Amino acid sequence: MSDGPDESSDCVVSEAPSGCRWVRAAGTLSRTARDTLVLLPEGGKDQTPLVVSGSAALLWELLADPITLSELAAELAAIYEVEASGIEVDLAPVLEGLHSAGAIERSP
Amino acid sequence: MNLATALPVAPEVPAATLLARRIAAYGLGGPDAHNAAGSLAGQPLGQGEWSVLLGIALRERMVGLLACAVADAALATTDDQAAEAHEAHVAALCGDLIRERELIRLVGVLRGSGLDHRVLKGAAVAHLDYPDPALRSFADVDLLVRAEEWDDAIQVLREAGWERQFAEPRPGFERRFVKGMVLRRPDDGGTELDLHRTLALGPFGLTVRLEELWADCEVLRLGGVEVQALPAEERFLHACFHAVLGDRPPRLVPLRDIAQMSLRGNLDLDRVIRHARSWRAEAVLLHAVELAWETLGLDPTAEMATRVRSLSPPSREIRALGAYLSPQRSYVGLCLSAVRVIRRPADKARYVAALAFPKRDFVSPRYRGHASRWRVAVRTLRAGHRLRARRPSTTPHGR
Repeated sequence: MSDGPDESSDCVVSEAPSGCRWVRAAGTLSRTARDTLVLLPEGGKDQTPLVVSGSAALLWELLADPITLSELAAELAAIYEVEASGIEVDLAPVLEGLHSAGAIERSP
Repeated sequence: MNLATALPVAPEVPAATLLARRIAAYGLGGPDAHNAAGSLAGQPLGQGEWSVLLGIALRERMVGLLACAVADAALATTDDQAAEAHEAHVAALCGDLIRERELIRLVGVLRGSGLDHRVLKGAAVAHLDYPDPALRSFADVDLLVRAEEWDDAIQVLREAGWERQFAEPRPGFERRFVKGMVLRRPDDGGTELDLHRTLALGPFGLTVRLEELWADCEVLRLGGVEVQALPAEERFLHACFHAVLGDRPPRLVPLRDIAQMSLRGNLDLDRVIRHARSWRAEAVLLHAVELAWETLGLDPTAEMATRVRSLSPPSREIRALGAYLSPQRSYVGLCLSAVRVIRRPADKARYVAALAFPKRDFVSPRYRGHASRWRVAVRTLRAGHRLRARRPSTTPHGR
């Protein structure tokens, strides 16, 4: 279990190796309300949960097991019937935000 | 003595409360409960009625069920009302996660000092009994500790920054007699810890066989940490205690918990009834199930309802239950009625003496002055006197 962002906390998702896999951080608490995701990562100094709207609930489901950015984009593209490349561009900052909040981590 | 005739009659129920009950039953099934929210409000409510309903859902901590009924279109709403329900749900979930994080820290504090724990009520029930924990919100953290470890637990929690609301009336009183203690952290006004020694205030709390609460447990994982909860049957009986012996009028959420656990089909009913007998709480079980079934409009032929309705609680239990359900119910009254179930004469004397003549730092936050304190002392001593004069066969321990 980590105390927040791991040793790769300076890692930028968009610059991570393409094979880099992401997964929910074990200490993150979560709930979903329709498409909205509510997260409380472990070890944050303030106790303000993170509220992520859009298709975040589905994204969180997919992050239950280690997955790369490209695989995530492909899964979501198949569900929403859009181009994976477009989704990948939108997805990178979302993963970045989740990672910097300590909600997800790089899978070893 | 018959339970139906011995207990107070319920007053007439306002329309908003009726709709809230339907929402509390949402998704459970049964002739009256199944998708019933829609049948009551096929058209969006007026803004006034909607505000009342949302207020009840928030107060009753069932905004998750309301949001679910709205999302399923079982309850018709305007777009604004649907957005309001969703926002209220998200806000409730934020609070739940903050309390869950605090719970994990507290379990770590207790565990670090070698103290046992069981997570009670909201956090445990949300994860173990509901299909989605987002349906069941909770307002505080409830933890059970062993009676024999009570003083150590209080000490460890105080060192961790938690402060008790009231001092102990006399040394050793709490670990022998109390239901529990509310603790808060002054540097973090948010979360409230309800530390339990037993499951209820008053006589029914003292007849719970505490060792049975520690014989087994069910484990849940929160944020990667294993925490221990009561097993399903004990959890169910605690929901019955909470529904019937807690707030007046009874809250909808514990009634939903009772229905939720009953209809999940994983309860061993023989074990539930065995525990209820052993804890001298058959009347609580019977009244709680009847109340849940009646309030939520559940299927009267369900196995739980038929099995429990066949119980015949002893009249002394029904009398004890009457003290909780009476409109004249008071904290002091319940404490006094608990004298009857304390077994050992020495403990009885300790209990009465502690309530009649508590330490000064226990008294000052509770009573306005000497006169108020003495009134309680006189009532306590009279209650003790009446009990000594009572024939042994009329006391719960007389047989």
